[in-house]
Order: sequence, then C-alpha cells, then structure tokens
Amino acid sequence: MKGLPDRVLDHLREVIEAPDLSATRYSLEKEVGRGGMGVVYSAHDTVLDRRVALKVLSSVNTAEPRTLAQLEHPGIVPVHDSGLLPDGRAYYVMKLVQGARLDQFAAGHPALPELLRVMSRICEPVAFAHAHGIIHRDLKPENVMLGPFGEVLVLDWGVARVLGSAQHDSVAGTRGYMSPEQASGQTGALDVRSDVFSLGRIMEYLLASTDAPQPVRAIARKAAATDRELRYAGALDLSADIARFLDGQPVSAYRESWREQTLRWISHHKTLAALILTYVAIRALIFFFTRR
Amino acid sequence: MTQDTAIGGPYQRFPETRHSAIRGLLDDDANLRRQSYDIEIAAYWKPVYKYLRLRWKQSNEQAKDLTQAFFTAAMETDTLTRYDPARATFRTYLRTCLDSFLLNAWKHETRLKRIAQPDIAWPAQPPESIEEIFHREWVRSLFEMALADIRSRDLPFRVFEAYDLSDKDSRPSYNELAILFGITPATVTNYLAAMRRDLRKSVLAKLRELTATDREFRSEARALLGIEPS
Repeated sequence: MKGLPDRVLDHLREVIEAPDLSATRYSLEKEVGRGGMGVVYSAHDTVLDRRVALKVLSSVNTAEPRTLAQLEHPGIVPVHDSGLLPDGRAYYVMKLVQGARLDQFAAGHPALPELLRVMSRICEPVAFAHAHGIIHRDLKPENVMLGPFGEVLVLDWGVARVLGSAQHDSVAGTRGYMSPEQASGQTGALDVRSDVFSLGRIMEYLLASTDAPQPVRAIARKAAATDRELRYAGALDLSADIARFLDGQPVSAYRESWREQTLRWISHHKTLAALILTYVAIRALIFFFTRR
Repeated sequence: MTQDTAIGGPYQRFPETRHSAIRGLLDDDANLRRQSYDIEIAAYWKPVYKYLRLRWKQSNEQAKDLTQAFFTAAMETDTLTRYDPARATFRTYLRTCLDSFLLNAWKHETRLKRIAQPDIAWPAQPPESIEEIFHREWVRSLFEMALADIRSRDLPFRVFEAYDLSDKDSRPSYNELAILFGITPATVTNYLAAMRRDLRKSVLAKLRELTATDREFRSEARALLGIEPS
C-alpha cells in the first residue's frame, strides 16, 4: 500500500483538528477565523435554532470565557455558553458577529470625523474592561468589528489579563501594536496604559491615509508614547481628547499657537465668525464714510 | 515521478514508547538507543527518500539505496547523537546531515558512481518549497505511524477507513456506510468521532516521541493540530 495521498492527509488534519461537538447542542458549520489562542467556527445552536460563533481554545486554559463573561458591555461580544470537548480542549459559544473588521472599514477611506467617532467607540469597552481590572493586551484593527447597525465590538480577549494577578505570564500581543513594556517581556509591570498604547497605534493606523490635522495626530502620538508616563492615563482620557477635537475644543495632547486657536475657533463658529466679520466690516465702512 | 516506495511505512507497528526518541538517541542503554533509532528512521525514512528524489534528483532505486546508506552511516558514526535541541529542530539537523553526507559521498566517489551529479543550485524550485516538501513528508510519516497504532480497533477503524481515508472524489454518506457495515448511522457518527479522537491522541503521542523538547512538542502540536497539549 502506498503512503497517504495528499488529499487524505489534508482531510485527516482537518477532521482531527475540528471539534467533536456530538455531545453538545451545536453542529459545526465552518471555520471563520484563526488566532494565536484558538480557532473560531460558525455553528448552529440546535436548541435555539440560531447561528453562533464557537471558539475552540488551543490550550486547556478556560480563563478566556470567564474573563469575557465578567464583561457585559454592548462593545464586547457576549458569551452564551462554555464547556470542554472530549479531547480536553475548552470551547465557548458567543454571538456570531456579522460586519466588517476595522481594517476592512478603514480600507474604504471613511471621512476623518467618522474615523474619530469609531476610534472613540473602541475606547469605551476597553475602558469598561479596565474599570473591571482587566486589560486586553492584544488590541489591533483585526480585533475590532463594526456591525451593520454601527455597533463597534472589541473581540478576542484570549490573552486578556486580570490586573495584579499572576495569570498569563507569557508575552502576548501583536508586533506593531503591543506596548514596549509588553514587547520587552515586563509582563508583571503591565497596566491599562499598555492598552492605551495599542489604542494609539490603532489610531495612527486609521490616520495613516488621511490628512488629519496636527492636534489629531498629537492625540495618537500621546497615546502611543514609548514612555508610558507620557501616555493618557486611561482609555476614557483618550476618548475624551478625541471628543474635544470633534467639539472644536483644544485637546490636551497639543499646544496650539495663537493663529491655530483663531482658525480652530473660526472653523467651529462659522456663523458667529461671519457675523463678527460683517459687523467689523460695517463699522469700518461707517468709520470710513463718516471721516469723509 | 512515476514510481514510489512503500519502504518505511505505512501502517507498520512501531515500538511503543512515551519518551522522546530524540532524547533516547543519547541514552546509555543500547536497547533504548536502538529503539529510538527505529522510531526516528520510521518517521524520517520517507521525508529523506522524497528529499533525495526531488532535491538530488535520484531515481526511485537510487533514492532508496541512498536513504538506507544514510541511516546506516548515521547509526555507525553516531551522527544523530550529536544533535543539539538548543540549536535547531531535529528535522533541520537531519536535513543538514543528509546534505553533508551526500556531498561527501559525491566528493569521494565512493558509492556515487550510482548517483547523478547533484544539482546544488537547483533553480527550478526555491529552497522554501524543498523545506515544505520535507516537512509535509514528515507529517505524512507521523500520521501513518499514528494510524498504525489505531488500526487494531477493527470495525470502527474499517468505518473510519471507508470514510476518512477514502481518496475518492466523493465520500460515502453516513447512511451508505451504515448499510455497508450493518450498523446505524448514529453508530457511524460515533465510530468516526471516536477514531478521530484516537488518531489525535496517537498523533500527539508520536509527536512527543519525535520532538526533543517540550517547547518543540507544543509548537509542533499547535502547528499540526491547532492545539496546545496539556
């Protein structure tokens, strides 16, 4: 007998990796994503007759669903169920999110205010997690999903860590988005500012192909500062600075010149500026004619 | 390539061990060393053979002879015992040893009157694809060894063989298998699930034997099966 043909080998690799759901209420559909911590499949919940996302974790660590279950926020995908497969791997079931990833959204070149509003929305679930003592540790465009009704969801909490705990001491994150303290392996020294750094890098990514003004770029720079003492203290501070820019107010990350202050004021108070200008012009004309 | 070989597998029984065979190569116990060699040869015979056919463009018979000669020489000269897990994976080390063996043999014109001149530059295929081929053959050997371990489960294995080992364009349905083997479709489902579970366990056990360190084992398991064993 000859060796295993290629397609049989490929099939075997596929079937022994696929989760055995025979003892569960779910039937497997197809693989929809793969990351460092596991594989996500779409599946069918035969009891509630709905499609769900089922993530099979690559290790026996069951911390991820427990971490997620603590975080009930509109910007975080809710966990419906969790369990163990017959081979010992842990899985959990969550809402199947339809929509576009942040990188796909950005590829459509949305307008700057829209980008900034999305950026601000990303900060909200992250800040919520921080308030519950949890840091994400792997924030990047691929882990943010924009739903069809404008919802912004932060995904993949697989390497999230409870602040102050000894769990997950390994280096986690994605090159280009992980903070310098993460990259250098100082896992014990991580705090919410590590996520702020990643948010800053995401913002820089979003701004890369735009002609964003200096204050906006300064916000991203401040969030992604190498020295974490120079970053925003939390995700909400970052979000607040973005909101200030959108409201036409000065941002904390950028010191404006007198000229920039004036131009910013004019651009956000166009009617009032026009009225003042008209008033000044009329007064000037009156002054000019009365002098004659 | 029109002709292949069945030497070195598939479906042979191999010594049952649960330690790393690579570590076993360094053991003082001659029996354990011999057993470890057997495991390594079983796992790497086909990758080496395939590598010789593709990289060194040897014919079927020449490749078989050279594979045999390489492993014999490796055993006689204790080449494999000089492997250092800290420096590279065993696969990389073995391939380096193989290239070195063939170049030396060619230079000294010992058995190389039977070998065509090696085409070192080999512009047709980049080295990455050779690496991939070697890796794929190694995976194939691994699965064949794992399958050999689970085929003792008679009926479940025959159902598994008819479905998961089928190389036909379309697989039989569970109902067709149920009729063929005189069992219910639910039993077909259970047998397949059980055999896949057994195969997964067996692949992991073989992987444990064929890797030198726990880190390498986990890394290979993750790459092959998408899991990190406990």
